[in-house]
Amino acid sequence: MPPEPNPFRPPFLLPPMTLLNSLLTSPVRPAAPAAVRPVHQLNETEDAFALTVQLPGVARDGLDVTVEEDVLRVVGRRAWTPPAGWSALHRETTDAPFTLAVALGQAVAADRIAAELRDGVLRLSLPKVEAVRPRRITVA
Amino acid sequence: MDRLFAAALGANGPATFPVDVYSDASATHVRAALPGCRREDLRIELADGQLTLSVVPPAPAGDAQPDAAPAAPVALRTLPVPEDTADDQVGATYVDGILTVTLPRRPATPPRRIQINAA
Repeated sequence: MPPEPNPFRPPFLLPPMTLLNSLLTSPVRPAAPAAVRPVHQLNETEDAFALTVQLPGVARDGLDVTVEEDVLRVVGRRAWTPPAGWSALHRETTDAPFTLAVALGQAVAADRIAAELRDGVLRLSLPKVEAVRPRRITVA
Repeated sequence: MDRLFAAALGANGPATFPVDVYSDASATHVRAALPGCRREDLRIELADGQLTLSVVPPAPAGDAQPDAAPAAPVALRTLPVPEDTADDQVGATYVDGILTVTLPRRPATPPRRIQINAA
């Protein structure tokens, strides 16, 4: 009677081509990421935060910027899809949306936020609310 | 902003950037993610079956010398192109930080019959 196959046999003991073949024929493919964290840079001055976010392929229609408490959220959706008849030969980008959440640590004046999206770069100016801006006290 | 691009593009030599390549019945299309570039800084060159995409910012004002070496690219990518690319019909657009280069194919040339002259 042949021995029972060991279910815990590590794959590296399988014949060399077995693992390769199973990888090539497996219906499971690595899932595309649900979201991508974009390259960004946050600067802070006494009066405001300045955030620059790289969002290649995102147009104004696909951009959402929200501020809740002291958390800024940026979501950028890439609307471009290949025209009919185009087939992908090689892909290095993903279609997943860009998402970024930044805890600013203090409140900003949501009604005075300025945003500019140009050539795939979002520039945000986020003025701090008056109450949290440092005040210089003159000593008499 | 300079630090942002230094981080994204790499501080040592030209950095790379992601590209997608598509094909349709008449052309090959290369889409490169290059956000925040000035159109005049984008270079597209086609030579020896290679497509070279690069970003070359201008030299700082005051540094311009007549015999100075050309400005170095901050980002560079070279890709092979199909042999039947019509080099003189290559086109490009830059929208939302995506550079799209269209490489039309030459129509197939029918074989030409050569007559043998009588001696």
